[in-house]
Amino acid sequence: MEQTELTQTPLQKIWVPWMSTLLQRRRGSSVPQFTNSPTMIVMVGLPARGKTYISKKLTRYLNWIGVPTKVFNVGQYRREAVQTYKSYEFFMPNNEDAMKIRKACAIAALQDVNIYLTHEQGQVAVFDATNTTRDRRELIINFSKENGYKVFFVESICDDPDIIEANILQVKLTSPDYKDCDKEKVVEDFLKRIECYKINYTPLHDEYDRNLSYIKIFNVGSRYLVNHVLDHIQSRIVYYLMNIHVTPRSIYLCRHGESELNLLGRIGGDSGLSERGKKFASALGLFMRDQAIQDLKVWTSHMKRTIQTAEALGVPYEQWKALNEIDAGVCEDMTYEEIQENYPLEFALRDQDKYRYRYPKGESYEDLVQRLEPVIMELERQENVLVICHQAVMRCLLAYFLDKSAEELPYLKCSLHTVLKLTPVAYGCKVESFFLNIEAVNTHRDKPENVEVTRNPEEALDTVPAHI
Amino acid sequence: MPRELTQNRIQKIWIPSKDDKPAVPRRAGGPYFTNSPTVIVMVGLPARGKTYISKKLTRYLNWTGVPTKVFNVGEYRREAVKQYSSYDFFRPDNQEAMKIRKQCALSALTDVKSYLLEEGGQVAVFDATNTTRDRREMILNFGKENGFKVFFIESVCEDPNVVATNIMEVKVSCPDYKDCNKTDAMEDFLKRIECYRASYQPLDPDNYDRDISFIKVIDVGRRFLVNRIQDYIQSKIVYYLMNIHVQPRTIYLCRHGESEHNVLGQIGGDSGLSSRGKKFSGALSRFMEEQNLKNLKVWTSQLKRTIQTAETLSMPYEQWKALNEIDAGICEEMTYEQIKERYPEEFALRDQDKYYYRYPTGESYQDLVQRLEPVIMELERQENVLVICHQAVMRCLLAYFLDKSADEMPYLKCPLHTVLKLTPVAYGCKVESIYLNVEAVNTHRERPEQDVKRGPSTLMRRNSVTPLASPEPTKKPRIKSLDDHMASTSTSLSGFAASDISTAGQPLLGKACLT
Repeated sequence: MEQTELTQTPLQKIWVPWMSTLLQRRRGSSVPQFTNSPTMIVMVGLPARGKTYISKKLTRYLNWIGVPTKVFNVGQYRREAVQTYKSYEFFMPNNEDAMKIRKACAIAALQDVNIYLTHEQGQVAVFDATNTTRDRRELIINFSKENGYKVFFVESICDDPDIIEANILQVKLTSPDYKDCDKEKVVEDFLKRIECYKINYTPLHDEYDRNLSYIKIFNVGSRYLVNHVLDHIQSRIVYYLMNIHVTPRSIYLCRHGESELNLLGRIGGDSGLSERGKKFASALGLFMRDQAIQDLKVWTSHMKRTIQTAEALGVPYEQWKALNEIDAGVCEDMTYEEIQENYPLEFALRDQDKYRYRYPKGESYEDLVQRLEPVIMELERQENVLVICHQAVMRCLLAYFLDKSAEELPYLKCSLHTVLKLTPVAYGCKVESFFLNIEAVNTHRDKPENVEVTRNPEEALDTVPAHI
Repeated sequence: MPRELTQNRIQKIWIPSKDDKPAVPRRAGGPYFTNSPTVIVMVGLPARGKTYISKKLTRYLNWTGVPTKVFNVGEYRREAVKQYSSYDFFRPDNQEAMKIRKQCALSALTDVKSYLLEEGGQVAVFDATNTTRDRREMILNFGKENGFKVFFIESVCEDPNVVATNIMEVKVSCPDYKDCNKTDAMEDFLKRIECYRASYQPLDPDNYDRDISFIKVIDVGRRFLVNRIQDYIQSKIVYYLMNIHVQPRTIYLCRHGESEHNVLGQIGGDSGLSSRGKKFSGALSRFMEEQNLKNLKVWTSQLKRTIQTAETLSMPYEQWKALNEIDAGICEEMTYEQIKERYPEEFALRDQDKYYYRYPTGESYQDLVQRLEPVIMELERQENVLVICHQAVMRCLLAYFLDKSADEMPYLKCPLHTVLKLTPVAYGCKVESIYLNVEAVNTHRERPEQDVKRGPSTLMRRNSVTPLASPEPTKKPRIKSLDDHMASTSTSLSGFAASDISTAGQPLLGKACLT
């Protein structure tokens, strides 16, 4: 039998049959692609049940693990169509004009879903609307059948009036619908809006909807009903939804203290802390004590510099191999100057696509994300956590929390001796940056102007930060 | 003052060094599962897959390093009542039998307590029908008294075909029916189920059981109801249960064809196939065609040799970086002779504890297991799959399917040019070994002579990702005399000796292995 010649793609170091390099399509990636048909996730539930919160969070997670996902929020289409919101009366079931507009908005959103999934390489579309009637859901199911999409429903059910009020205060007060309104009016109007929907609300039903694929979430996650999960992506979505929570907490991200190799401008390796790095470790201890957090978990990598940093805190910590710095393969322990000298082609390729670039015998940022996924999953389960890690790793984690793209991720600024405090708020994450006032080298290398393989060494090394 | 750090020699983990003693090594990756041990309590009528789930879940948890053991009350009953006569034993009005059955449950719980408190167990799976609220209340109290978390797994199924299939698959051949023919066994078992049905109180999420943690598995995984997951381990258990299925299928494991490095005795690297390796690829392609499978998925690593092997199959394949061979760090591309010469201490350490040993700047088998967990999870979801991988990787995967311990794993035989065909059957996995008749070098290094100094293995095993083979079920009769127990009315469980835990048997390939 003929053996096809294999060649290794220069950027990602993936072995492909020689012929396929002539084709555009990438043959392999770090992780198998498990979805063939695109998927529509359809939210279901009364207003203020967390549908948009779940839509945005799930979208952020799926994009981060490499599944192109987008939210289509019908409320936004409605705000475009009906420029000013007057009152809950718009939502009354007997308001025929409004009903027409609302249906047209849903259809417009579905058309955009179609464009995204069929023509824009989208893999998952999240259809964020109440979708509380069987008719509406029937419409969506037919639409999907026509287009060859799988459908997965996510229904959020909640009867706790405290939770509903908290939701209204957290995200509805600041909605464009209610600008210039005072708090009480907002709550009153919104509660009446909810009543409008309740009249016609038919939740997903055990018998009637027996053949649909869905998850019902009760009371912010105390219970789940999962029906007929069809494939890998739906299984991952269910697992993610079952691990997230809304209990207030903070996540602290920082790097190890300055290391000996940092001082020398060398990447990777497993060196210990420099004098300044040790000072940072103590300062970190004081800082965390001042934060006065109950039940703080501390995580480090398996590398000496993060562990040394954690040791100064005097509290128990967990070591995760998954938090180890990106493996620079043949370039481990080198300075950027040495990499340019020994592997100028590699150095240029890295600048061309820093996210997908894999060091020879090493890793790429794309590989890192796959390796970090269990860390993210456990971070979602946990409450207050301090993660002491490394530059590339911290960039990946930060990109998850702040919804940064693959293009931005490798250039996020994660300086030594600086703690980032992340606090979930509304639909996103508040970030506070704390520089603990101990000098350290800069290890951030910006993308240089010239990324061509033909560039000269000066151009390549233009953005290398100073070191010994 | 921060403590001084040293890197422990086998695992290469940085730990504070206290005095002269090497401190107890810390966790190797992965969060600390729970502080309290967990009792998983199966619930359901007979022939609903409780024992199947118990054993499979236990095998998975042990592979990921969570010490887990099944306590099957039916086995305690078979010890206590030597000869099963008929379903009459299970009639609700059979008071004598009811007493015995209760004592068996209590005695199993005593063993659960020993396992979790004294034998290093983390999870105990209490496999019994547990169909009444009373029984479950007793177990919840037992959990409370001892500081154990309790998680129920209820299996509900009313499809008569599924139930009949289960009975044929695992009941007619069970010790209770050893002297019966199949029809009689089936008839008796169906009557046995009816005995339970009258008093069966399913978990009620809306009211009575609103506050307990459980998962209801409905119709063999079509539907799940999950209530109040408390922690990481329960979340993992739920995820696992939602991914497993019972569709018949076959998993094929093999290594890449013989590579150029194999021929030279070099480990690791990323070389291509030798000419014999290429012949093997052709043979593999013909073999897979003969297997005549619908919808076969083919997976490789991202190393050239597995991809070259797959290319010959002329079918689509997926590349998983997670299937790459173990990273030998500084020893990559060396021969064993070269390693012995240049790094004699490392060489010796590896033989001392091959499972935990991490190559400097490389990986250990322990690291491999962590890396392969998503592969296993996806294998559970899939149906027919051919995995073309590498020696160490294949050993890890095989250890999962055949329930082998960390100790055995690095020495499982996975020769080149040999396909292992795994078919789920009853409670375990049938293995067939097919050598495709293309010569290749032998890359297997036997476990060294027993007098090699062994490290302090108990220290390292604590709290780390350490596959354990699921322990043998406790068979010793626990009850000295039934009368002693009739006297006591409380449910407190004390005064029983700890049971032995024996690990599973030798790595035998080419034979049917039923756990």
